[in-house]
Order: sequence, then structure tokens, then C-alpha cells
Amino acid sequence: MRRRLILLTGAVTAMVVLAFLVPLFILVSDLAHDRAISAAERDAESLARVLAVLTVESDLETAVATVGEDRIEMVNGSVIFPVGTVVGLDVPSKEDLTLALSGSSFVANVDGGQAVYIPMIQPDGTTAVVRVFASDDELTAGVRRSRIILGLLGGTLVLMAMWVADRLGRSMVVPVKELSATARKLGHGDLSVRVDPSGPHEIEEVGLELNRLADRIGRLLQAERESAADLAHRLRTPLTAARLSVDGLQEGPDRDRLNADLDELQRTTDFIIREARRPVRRESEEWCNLAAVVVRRIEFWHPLALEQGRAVELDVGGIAAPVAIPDGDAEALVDALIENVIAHTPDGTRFVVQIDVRDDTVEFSVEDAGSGIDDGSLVDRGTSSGDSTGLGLDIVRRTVEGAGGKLVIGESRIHGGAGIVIRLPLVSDR
Amino acid sequence: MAAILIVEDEQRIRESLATRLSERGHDVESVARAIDGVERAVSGSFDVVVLDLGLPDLDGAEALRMIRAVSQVPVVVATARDDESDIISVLDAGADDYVVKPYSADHLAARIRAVLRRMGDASEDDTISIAGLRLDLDAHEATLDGRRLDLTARAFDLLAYLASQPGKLVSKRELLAEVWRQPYGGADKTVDVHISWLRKELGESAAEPMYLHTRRGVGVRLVDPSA
Repeated sequence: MRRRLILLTGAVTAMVVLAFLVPLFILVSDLAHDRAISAAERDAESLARVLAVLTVESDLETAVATVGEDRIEMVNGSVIFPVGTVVGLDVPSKEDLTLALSGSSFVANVDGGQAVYIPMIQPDGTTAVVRVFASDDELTAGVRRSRIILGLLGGTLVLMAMWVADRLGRSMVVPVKELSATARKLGHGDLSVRVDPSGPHEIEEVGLELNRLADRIGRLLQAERESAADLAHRLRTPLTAARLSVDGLQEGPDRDRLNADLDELQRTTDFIIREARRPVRRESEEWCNLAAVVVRRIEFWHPLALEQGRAVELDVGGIAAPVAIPDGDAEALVDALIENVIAHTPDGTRFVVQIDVRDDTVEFSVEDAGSGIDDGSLVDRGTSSGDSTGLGLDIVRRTVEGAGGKLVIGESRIHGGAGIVIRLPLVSDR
Repeated sequence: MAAILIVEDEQRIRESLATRLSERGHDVESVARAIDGVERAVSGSFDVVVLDLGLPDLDGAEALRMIRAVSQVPVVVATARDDESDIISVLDAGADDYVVKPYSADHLAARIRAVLRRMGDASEDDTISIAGLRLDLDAHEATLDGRRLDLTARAFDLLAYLASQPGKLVSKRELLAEVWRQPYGGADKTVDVHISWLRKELGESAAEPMYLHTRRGVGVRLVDPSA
């Protein structure tokens, strides 16, 4: 937008400058020509006047001799006698000479410039002619310089106009860019971000409206969550009644099954309440070093892995992997993935945990040497099975997507078992 | 056997809970209104009061303050409210324990037993000793042969729960309910990893257990290795 404004202003200004410069160039040229011709006419008239005065008491030859041929040539002049004899510069054109001797005063084009012819009537009634030559250099003297100055002035004017357009464009573009960045962050779920309304009135209005929209989205989401939390909260009372009733049943498979169903219902209810209570407005400064979290959680899970005869390979390489996930959520994410391996693969199954930072992406993977996805167990992990509601991976998916990342469930590239890969954008300003 | 007063407005919960606690040998009386609950609680006829907070005539927290003004009867608050601020406020107001709905009869009965045990043993030294293992429940400290164990709060609670009933095989479901206060999830390995941590601190392994003996798929028991 800013560039287009500059180009538009440049083009318009250049056209205006051209519209003025072309006539000015012609005018300058004409002025120089007129000035040179006027000077030649003045010189010719002066010479004719001097010769006229001198011929009062002597003839033309004596008068010319008195003035001197070198002085006549100094003003690029010639004196043409009535018989056609020339003193001074040569007169190449016979037609011009004839015309001048007939008594006409004129300016004629000649090779290398122009010549001014002024007839001079002699006391004896014959006509002599004074001719002064103006060369092309004299006719165009100062034109080139004037045109360069005018061209530079025109160019400067165009550049100044473009600079002013840039300043004006900047005052419009910067607030628009801020609006765009704010809208993008809102789109990525950061409802805490607001724009500082500035710039032209219309753009300022858009900024204010965007802020109001963000507030409204936040309030609506909060209300929706509170409603979900309240609903789930109310479920706790009938859930308690159901659990107490089940407690009254005879011990056996039916009671166990009902208890398991109630457990699952309670876990789901707790999850809904917990999720609903998460703040809608995620603070933009919430981040963690995923590599450090992984190291910490592997240390936590290691005793159990050791006890179950699992070899754990940890490859984080001491790198920093800042991602836009709060520390607590990152711990839950890592725990869910490791717990998945431990819960769904037999004892002794080794697994590898890796973190790699490439360009602007953090890749976190947990891969095992289990039976992989062929038996469908991994798919169950992402949804639901008899033992699990699948909320663990669901939480992982939501956390990852909330941070602008992607969760990929597939086969291990290393051990041939299951492989879960998470790609998250690197938080570059940390 | 204990005399228990239930103050709960939800009829199904009130009746089921009274039945379940009666089946466990307790003498149970229940009321639906806070005012009735306060009146009965201060009568001196009960060993423990189970008090709901969301009561129709008066908030349970206010009823608790009224009870505490004139009586030291143990009060277990059983409510759907699980905000930390609510829990702290109610415990500060004089509640002896706090249980969040939904709870099972076993869960609540265990809480009542624990409260009664604390009340009965208030003057005694609050420690558990099993062979070289010694737990100071007040200080939240555990030592093994004089060496202080580096335990998280949750690991200590787990060890204390197992040590409070040595020899008893405790299921993972019970541990999740009693120590974590969470419902059981079949794929939940939280208990397993904490038991592994405890083993590490106790200097033993699953293959060569001393204090902690696991029966796969059933539960874990803490035993006296010298016995």
C-alpha cells in the first residue's frame, strides 16, 4: 500500500512537472535565440550608424578603413559595398546578398547560425549593407545549463513529493499493519491482544471496533465456558447420588462396570470443568522451554521406565526450544505422551524422546518399539478405549493446536512402533 | 461405630449416604436444612457432622461458623464446590476435612475415620514407624534408618496412606481416590510412577522389594521387612 502510494504520487508529480518543463525548455531556447539575434541587430545597427556618421564627410571606403576591418570582424560583422565588395566576414549566400542590396532588412539562416542584414542608404543613393553573424553557439548560449537546472528542480520536486507521500503513507500503513497483526493474533486465539488505535480517523475507528470485537469474543467465550462449567458442576450432585446408589449394590461384575462408567463420567466432567476454567485470554508472554520441560519429565518417569525394563533414549541435545505453551500445560503434554507409551506397550519396550529445532519449528517426538498402529491400539489412544477416555491425547491435541502447532500420529521412523510427532512454531523473541 | 449427622439438601444423596454409612455400622441421622443441622450439631449427640455447603436456607459455610461458635464437633464438608479459595475459606472457618463431590461411600467413610482418628489421637505423637521407616505426619517428613527421604508432597501422602495400614493390599483405585482425590482411570500411570519414585527413595526395586510389594493388576501393600 505504501509503495503504491509512493508510485502514484511520483507518477502524478512527474506528469505535472513534465507539463511545466516542456514549455519552459522551449521558452528558454526561444529566449536565448532572441537574445543572440537582438545582440546581433544591436551590433549591426551600431556599425551602420557609425559608418553613416563617417560617410557624411567622406566616402564609404574611407569610413570602413577608419573603423578597421578587424573591429568589424570582432562583432562577426561584414560591410557589403553597393558593388558587392565585402569587408569583414565572408558572405556565402548570393541570394541573401542580392536581397539585402535591394534595401531589405532581414534575418537569414546560414550555415552555423543566422545573419542579420541591415541596409544602409549612401549619400549618393546607392545601398550598402551591414551584416552581423550570430553563430549557433550564441543562439543557444545558456540553454543547456538552464535546462539542466530546470530538470534537476523538476526531479527534486518529484522526489520531495514521493518523500511526503511516503510519510503520509507511513502514517496510514503503520496503523493498518498493527491492525493486521492484531487480527492475526486474535485469529490464533490470543484474545489478550489489543490494538492501539492511531492513524487516520477511519483506521482509528476500525482499531476501536476490532478492540470491541475482541472484548466481545472474550466475553462470549467466557460466558460459554462458565455455562459449560456450571452445567458440569451441577452434574456432580446426581453423580454423587448415582455413586452412593451403586455402592449399595452387591459386589460383582455389574457393580464394577457401573463404577467404571461412573469413573469415566467423573473424569469427563472434571475435564470439562477444568478446561472451562482455563482463562480465555491467554497471555502472550506465556511460553516455556520445551526441551527443559522434557528433560524434567523424563527424569520423573525414568524410575517407572527402569522398573519396567524400558530403555529410554533422550535426544534433546541441550538446545533451547521456546514454544508458546505455559510450563504447566507443557508438562501435562509431555506426561500424556510418555504415559501413553507406558500404558499401551508391554514392559521392556524401549522408546525414544527427541526434540529438534529446524528453522522456525520445534519438532518434539515420542516413538516406541511397540506393535505400532497395526493393532489399532494407537488409534484407540487418540479416541477412547475400555481403559481410557482418550482425553490425554485430546488435551495434547488442543494444547498443540492452541499454540499454532500440529500433532501427527503415525509410525515410528526409528523403532517401527508408534510415533507421535508434534510440530510447534518456535517463539523467536525469547 | 460413630454417631454421624448428615446435613444435605439433596434427598437422593441424603438417603443413600445415610443408608451406606448405616450399613457400615454408624448411627446416622440426616437433615435437609442448615438451621436444623446447626441445631442438631450443637446438641452434643454426634461424633462427626457431614455438611453440604449449597443448602437452601443458609449457606453451609455460615452454618459451619455457627456450629464452631458453640461446639468442637468434627465437621467434614462434602460439597460440589471445588474452588481452592472455597476450600481454604471453609477449612479456615473450622472444617476438619473437605470432600468434593462426587464421592463414594467408602471415600467419605475413610475421611470420617481419619477425622475421628485424628480427634482421638490428638494428644498422641503423630508419627508412624515401621522397621527403619519413620513418618512424621505433622512435619510431613519421612526418614529411613535415620536418613531423611527426599519426597514430594504427593509421594509423602502416598507413603503415609500405605503406612497407615501396613500389610493391607491397597488398590490403585483407592489410592487415586484417597491420595489424589481423583476418579480411577485404567490407563492412569500416575500411581505407578509415584510408587517407583518411592521405591527409588527407599533403596529397593520391584524385583527385590522390601517395604513396597506390588501385586500386578491388584494393588500395592507396605509391609514391615523385618517381620
